Formats: sequence, C-alpha cells, structure tokens
Amino acid sequence: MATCLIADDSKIIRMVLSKIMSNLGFDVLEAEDGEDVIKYWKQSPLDLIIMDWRLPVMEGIDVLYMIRSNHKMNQPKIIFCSSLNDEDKIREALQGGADDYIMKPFDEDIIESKITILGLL
Amino acid sequence: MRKTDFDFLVELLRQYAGWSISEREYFAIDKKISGFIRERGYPSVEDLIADLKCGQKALIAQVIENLAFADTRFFRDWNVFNQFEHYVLPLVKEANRNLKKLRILSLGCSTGQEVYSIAIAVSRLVGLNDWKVSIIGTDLSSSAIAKAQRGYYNQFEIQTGMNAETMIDNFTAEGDSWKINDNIKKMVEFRRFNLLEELTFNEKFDIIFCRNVLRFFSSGIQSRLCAKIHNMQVPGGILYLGKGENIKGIIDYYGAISGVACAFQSKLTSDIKIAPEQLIRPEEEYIPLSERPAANGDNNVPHFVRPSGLGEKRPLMSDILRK
Repeated sequence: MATCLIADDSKIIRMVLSKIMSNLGFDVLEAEDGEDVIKYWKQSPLDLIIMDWRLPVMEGIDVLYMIRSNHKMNQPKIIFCSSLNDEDKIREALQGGADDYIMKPFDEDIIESKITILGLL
Repeated sequence: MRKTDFDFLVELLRQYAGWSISEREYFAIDKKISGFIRERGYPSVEDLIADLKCGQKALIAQVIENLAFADTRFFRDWNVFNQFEHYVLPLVKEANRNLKKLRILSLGCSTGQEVYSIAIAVSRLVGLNDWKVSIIGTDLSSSAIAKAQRGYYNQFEIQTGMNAETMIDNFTAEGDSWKINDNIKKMVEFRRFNLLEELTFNEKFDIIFCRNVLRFFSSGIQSRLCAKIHNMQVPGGILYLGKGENIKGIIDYYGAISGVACAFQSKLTSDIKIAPEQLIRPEEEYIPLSERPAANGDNNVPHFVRPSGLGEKRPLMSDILRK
C-alpha cells in the first residue's frame, strides 16, 4: 500500500484529505508544519506528499527545495494544495520540482484525478 | 421526485431526444431537475411537470436541454486520453502524411472539456504546422455549446482531470475563472446538433469521439446511429466510445483495436453488409500533377489515386497497428 503524507496547519483540511486518501487506498500520515514533513521524509519511505504552501516553521516551498536538492534521498511525488491560486505561485512550485498543484477549495474528484494522472492509482 | 414525475420526464426525453433512460438514472435526473426548479423558482417538481403537461414548447426544450447536460471533465479517463495522445494521434498523423489533414469530431461534447483536451493533445503533436487541422464539437444543448464557445471554466472544472502544468500552459486566470488560450480556441469549432437530425459535414473524420452518448439511446436507435457515425468517418478511421459502453450494431461497422482502450476502427465499406443508401462514397485523394510518379513515361494523363484508406498511398491504421 502506498504511503501519503498530508501536511497542513488546518486540522479540518488534514481530516478531509486523510479521509479522501484513505478511501483511495493510501496509508496516511499527517504533519502540521514544514519541519514535521522533513522529519517524516527522512524516517519513512513516502510515495506522495500533499502539502500547503503556507506551513508553520518552514514554508512548503522551502520543504520542496530541500527534498528536491537531496537527490540521494527518497524522492516522493509532491503536490501542493494551497489557497495561493495565482499563476506565478503555481509556476514557481512546478519549476521547483512539484509534480502538481491543487487550488483550494477542492473536492474528491479533483484529488482522485490528480493522483490518477501521477500514476499512483 | 415522485415515480410518476420521473416516468413523465423519461418519456419526454424519449420523445424529444430519442433517449432511453432506465431507473438507474433516477438520482442523476432528480439532481438535474432539482437544480432546474431552484434556478427557475418553481416551488416543486410537480408544478414544473404541470406546466410541461400544458405543452409549453419553450419550457419543454429548456428541460430537455437541462437533462441532456452531460457530466464531463478534461482528459476524461486519463489512461484512454494518454494513449490517444501518445499512440493513436501519431499513428493517424503517419497514415495521413500525404493528405496533411487531421479531422476530429466530438459528438455530445457537452461544455467543451473533451474538445479542448483533444485540441491540447493535438497542439503538442509536432510537425503539424502545414497541416489542415479541424476539431469540431457538437452537442444537443445550446447552453452547453454556448459555455464551450466561451471557454471559461471554474476552479473545480479546470482542476478535474487536468494537471497544473497543462492548465497554466493552456489557460489564463481571469478572476475566479480560467480562460482557454486563443491558440487552442482557434483550433476548435462548436455546433449545436441533435444526433437524430440529419448529419451534415463537409468532410469525413479521421477520429470521432462519441463517449457516453450512445448508451442513452434505445438499441434500435443505437444501430441506426452507428451507421450514421460510420458514414461520417474515413475508411479505417477511429471511433472512441465510453468505457464499458456496449452499443448495439457497433460490430457491424467497427472492429475493436487490440491494445487500444475504448477505440474502434471503422470497417471498409466492402466489408459491410448494409443498405445501399447507407454506403459511403469514399473520398478521392487528388495528387497534383507535379507530384505524380511517371507512368509509362507519360506524366500528363490526369489520374486519381485509389480512395484513401483503400489504396496503397495511404497506409491503413490496421497495417500500422500490426507493425
């Protein structure tokens, strides 16, 4: 079973995403801030990270840069899930190595289609 | 919604659109009609049905349109579309290399997501600069066609089925909506069209998408529509149906393509036993004099090559697929 880490400082968003991802057959881990994401990434073999841009302690974009610059470490698929919905932010995330970007608000169909496109379903 | 109201709407769809709706569609119809009465300020479905029974033609047309509004999404069935873009399109391009034309039709295209997905896939195919590309979408609903023509999609529509890279490459944010870029919009054309009416197009199509459309029709109408659709297709052309669609009459006109999901290849007319009036008159492919090979030293005798798909000049899809 593939493992997905959900990182968002909003408990409700984490709950909704966890439910959707569990229904899609993923093992789900949750993180509240960027530092936690890095901790999980170093400890667990993650297949996918879905994270907010604005995370406490360490921003999502910095987490992305850190993961993508460590080529020797596990490189999970990374999807941003953010309410920063302007094109520049989306472009910045993709250029930084993100695999996809979900604009909030979202629904189950959007999540499922994004995961399918990444070949994880 | 009461069962009698549901039955009335099913009968309305049968009479005006030729659809054959089963009770499995109850919740889908209920959802659509609930939205319609809310939008129009009807207190209940019963009140709407009472007006429909008075025979108000404009209202009937609006209800039919509303019910016929199909669910759609960008790159619907990702794996099917992926194979279409990276396998089928290049093969059709190879088959048409002398003709330099690519003609694609989407029947029942709803609000345009399928047509724009096709156009985006075609735009990513290299080497079509000097080709004549025609991508046409049709739907029964004029409001769906109007939305398709506008090319604006909300945040939910734009994200369902499409990754962010494709989105920012082909759409531009305008307020809360995303607008299709002009280079893609210019490639497509939309027309309101009822499948049961006479089909008139200037050309036959290399690829026809008719996904999740035919299944709504009764089996008798399905057979007739298969013949009609086949008539719109070049010999050896490709037809896409929806996943798991079991259409009566399809095997008379098309053969499944091994290894290509949801795709069928039109049979040559000589293989089909159908009424003479349904037979296709194969298009003739004219080769300019300067490009013709010399025959017996005489290069001035005008001639046509064999009809495309039947001759040696245009490789058949089936031949290419076999390689």
